[in-house]
Amino acid sequence: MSCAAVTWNAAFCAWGCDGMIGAAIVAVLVTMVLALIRAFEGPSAYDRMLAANLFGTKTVLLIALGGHALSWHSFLDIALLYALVNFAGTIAVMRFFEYSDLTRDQGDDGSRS
Amino acid sequence: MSDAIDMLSGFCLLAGSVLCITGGVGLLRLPDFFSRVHAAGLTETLAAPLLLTGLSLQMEWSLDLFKVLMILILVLATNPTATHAMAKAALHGGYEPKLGSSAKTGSAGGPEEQESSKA
Repeated sequence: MSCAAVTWNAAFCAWGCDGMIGAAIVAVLVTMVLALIRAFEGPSAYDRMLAANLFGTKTVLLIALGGHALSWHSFLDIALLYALVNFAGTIAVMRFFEYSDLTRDQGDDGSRS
Repeated sequence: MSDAIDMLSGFCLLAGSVLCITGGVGLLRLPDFFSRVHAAGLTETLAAPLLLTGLSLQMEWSLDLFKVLMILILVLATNPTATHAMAKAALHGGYEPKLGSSAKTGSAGGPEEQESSKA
């Protein structure tokens, strides 16, 4: 391994997990923050639902990576269950919204007036 | 052999992380709902399997590895389906993709379109 990877490993070994897994956890957390910002300011309900779906997928990844890094191996069951619930919830809410009139946005987001 | 697997795992995790952040920035920065669906769906479909492959390369043979592979297959199957359902629901709900200037001049723009392009 190169020198940069060794120092990266040393930086994350204090936190108790392998180096690249720590970097991936940080990246997933950053993406969750970005998805939360879009979910808060999204002009339409579809934007919020898209951000919630991305947030749920990132939660699955976070649970799997964090469970492996902290040696909590039973968390993989929770990640599997969360992936199922995330997909079913997204499909259910989209079927509910599909022909609804409640999802108009306030801005000019390409919607028919 | 173990070093090669470690480096492959590190590459998968790094590429997945970069794709993750790219999808988040695209979700935040792109102007239209359909372009946001495009950014989120495309990067998500590659980022989650890359991260889970990198994770599974670091595990030993056990039931946990099988569970990670199950999560990988599930995410790979359900994520494009959910994205497609969202885009279809938005299209049926009355949203239209925002077109660029070249596409607007190509179409016969009515007065409504010209007003909306001015505003």
